[in-house]
Amino acid sequence: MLIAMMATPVAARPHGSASDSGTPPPLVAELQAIAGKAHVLWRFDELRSYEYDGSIDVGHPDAVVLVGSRQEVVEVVRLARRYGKPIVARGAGTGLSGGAVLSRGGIAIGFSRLRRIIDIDVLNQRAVCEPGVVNLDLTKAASRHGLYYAPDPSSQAACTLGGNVAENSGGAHCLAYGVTTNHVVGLELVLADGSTVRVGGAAPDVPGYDLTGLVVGSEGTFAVVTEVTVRLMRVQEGVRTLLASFDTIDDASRATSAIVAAGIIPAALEMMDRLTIQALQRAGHKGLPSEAQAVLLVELEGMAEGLAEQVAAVQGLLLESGASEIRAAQTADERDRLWKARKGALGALGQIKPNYYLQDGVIPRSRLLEVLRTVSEVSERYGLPIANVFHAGDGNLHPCIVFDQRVHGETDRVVAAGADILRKCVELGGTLSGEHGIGLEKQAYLPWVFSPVDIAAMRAAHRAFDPDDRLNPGKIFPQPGAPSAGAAQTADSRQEES
Amino acid sequence: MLQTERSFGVAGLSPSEVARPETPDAVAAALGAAAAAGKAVVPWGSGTKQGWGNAPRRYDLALDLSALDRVLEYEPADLVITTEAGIPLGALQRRLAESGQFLALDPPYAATSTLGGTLATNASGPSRLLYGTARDLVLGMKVANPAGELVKSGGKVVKNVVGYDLNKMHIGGLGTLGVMVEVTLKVHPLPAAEATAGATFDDLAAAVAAAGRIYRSVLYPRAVELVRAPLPGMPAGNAWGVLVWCAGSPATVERQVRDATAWCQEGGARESLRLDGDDHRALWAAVSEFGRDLPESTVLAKLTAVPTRIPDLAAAAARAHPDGAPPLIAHAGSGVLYAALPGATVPVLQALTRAAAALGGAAVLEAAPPAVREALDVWGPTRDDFPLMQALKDQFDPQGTLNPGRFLGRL
Repeated sequence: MLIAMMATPVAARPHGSASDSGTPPPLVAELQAIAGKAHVLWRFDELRSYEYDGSIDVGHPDAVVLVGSRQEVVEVVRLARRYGKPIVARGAGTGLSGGAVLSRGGIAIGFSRLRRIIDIDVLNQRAVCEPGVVNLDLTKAASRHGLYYAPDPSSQAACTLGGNVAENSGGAHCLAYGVTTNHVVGLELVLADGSTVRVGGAAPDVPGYDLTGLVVGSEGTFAVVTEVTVRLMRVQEGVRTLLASFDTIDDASRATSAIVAAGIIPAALEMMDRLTIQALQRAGHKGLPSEAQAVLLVELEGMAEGLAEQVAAVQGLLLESGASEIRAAQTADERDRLWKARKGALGALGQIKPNYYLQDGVIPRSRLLEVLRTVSEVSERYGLPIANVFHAGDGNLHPCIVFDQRVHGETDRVVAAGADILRKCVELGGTLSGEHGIGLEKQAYLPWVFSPVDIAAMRAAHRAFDPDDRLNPGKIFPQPGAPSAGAAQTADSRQEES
Repeated sequence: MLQTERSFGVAGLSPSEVARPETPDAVAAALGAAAAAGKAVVPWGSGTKQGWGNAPRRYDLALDLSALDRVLEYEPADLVITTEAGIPLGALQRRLAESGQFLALDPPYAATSTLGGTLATNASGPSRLLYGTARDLVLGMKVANPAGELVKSGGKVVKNVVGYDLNKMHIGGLGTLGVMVEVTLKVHPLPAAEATAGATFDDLAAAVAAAGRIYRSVLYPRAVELVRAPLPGMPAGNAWGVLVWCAGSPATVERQVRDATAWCQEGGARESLRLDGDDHRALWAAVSEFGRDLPESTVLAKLTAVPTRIPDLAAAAARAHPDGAPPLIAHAGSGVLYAALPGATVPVLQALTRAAAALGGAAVLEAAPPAVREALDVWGPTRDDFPLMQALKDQFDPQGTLNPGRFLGRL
């Protein structure tokens, strides 16, 4: 993900396709007939904020329709089919790999109106939701029953369940409880031909192929999701949150590997390095150790009896690995403050430079030390500061390259540096993305991990769902004629052209 | 069963050939050659669950995968293992236990069944309450396809959203879309302590209420079962039993046992029991193996629904039993119930299937006499998502080489 925090990148838009005034084009008129005039956006200015998601990639929709029901989704999909237009489903647009960007134009189906929690079945610990339900809103609604929805992406206050399903989103607490696919049990889908299908369901082990499991993480290319059934978890009895400081990032890496190797699976195990801590301090976050080169945020959950033992064991491992200080959050307030710092870390990096490029790579957890050394070498080689703020316990890196895109050529160097880090992840037995997805950003890298035969199998699965390639086309797979280093690498030159 | 294994017979059919390839490449080559010659192939692990599914439409080649039994990569510090798919689960668990770890699956035939067969049938056991099922434990796989190629999906790390998650269609796919040759799994540390807390009840409703209070609680037990079956360590008779698999640190286990026992007593339990050590292990092995040594005339039905529907599933099973009291065990917190139904006829089983569907679930016949299997689809009726399943089958096995006719809708 490339983020422009000050300058807004502007892409070349098609000319003359949608005028600012006058009668709407026929496609728009038909969309208005389906969803109502107020819910169809088509004028130049209305569409601007729908050209982006959380990545830098840009695409211009023909129109955006904010649907109010499943039936409207069905009609829009049929209409798009008739016009030969792509369909891209869109939640909150927080995705980080270009998944919601209409790189080939077409109709964006916005789900911001479908945000009803249809049912919370407390006894069976299931919830049925419309796809526009915001992730955190579900947890808030479930919390009065002592339940919560476990996957918690950093954007959980904005991102939607529909988007989470598309991207198979993760989050800080996925270490112990798994990612979206482990919590989604059923879906209602509208297929590219306009038919509606239910897959999976609240009951377990539905006979037949696990279509739910295939659709989760398919980045909106298999079907438009119109309803999501998830499982909810019981809030644990106790929680302890520790912040351990280290004089070297190597020690923090060793501590992480030592905890996992000891068979302790914390609810969360997050690392932040010195650059991140400095940025957070500049942004006004208090209570972080100024001298530390790295901190680990360790959260342990469970019954009172086991918790005390676990905390003692983790503290022992942290100290053995060279922790210079361990603080325990004494109150819920202190815990919240630590998590606010963690979840606000990316925003705070704007204190260092105007732009950041957030990478997402995964490595086997025992290889943390090596990969972080590579990150540091890459930083020196390219002369670019790189902050590390990530899910250490999962081996899910988020090196964050801070830069200034106004400096000529810097964006290209940033993308090249990101690619070098990803290459190392793959070399160490890891992969290209743990939770952000491939989308447009990493499609050119897909052959680093999958052979043509593997990719052909993925395309075959796609054909079973969307044989005419109508749903979110142009994502995930390397595109013929695209530059070898991927869409992201061209971002800088695209901006300069416009 | 033993004879079936040796002869590679399935539902009275025998193959004209048996291949026992020794490498993944050789599996792909054998499968590719068979498909090219228009042969029908049954992938074969150790044969323990070849009674599952419908009878094959055709059967030419048994593809014996038992030679693929090597562990390829195991780094205990990563809690990840990569192994060939023909390894027996028992051998895999022994290897992991050397490092204090285990694969959190406790399906039937746990000693002899192969990893590949376990995954292809999505077999599970009581521990699914805490650890989930195969879909939650598989990180990646390599699969031989009918074109004679090896196809990789997923990876070797615990978080991965690169490309489509094709692992999912092979788990529980009964080998109808490809043949697993290599699998990467997420493993767990062995709990430091374990024990069973149990209680018996005269009344089903009281037993269900007590079980629910436990599996919905902060105790997070490994398993909560509702049983009415002869099990080692359980009092004989026709009472309903609630069994709680407590696991964790010694202090945690004591807390789980204490609270679970107290809640059962408050809920009207007739008697309580606690099992430790070998007794505890023997009980849970028997729960996992429930219904696996039945006479041929007995149907073993797997009934599913949301957990609060367990009493309704039990009632539906009772209606399918001559005395109205079938032996059964239920993974109560997961919504899965197994019932042994001696002499159940086709109309009775059709009614059972309708009852399960009406509860929002399904009835799958994991064991049934030949006459029943001829008359019924053992997976139950297809639903409106079946055309998507057919489309997948058409994409991945267009000639119907793999286990033809055996899966849902006779795919």
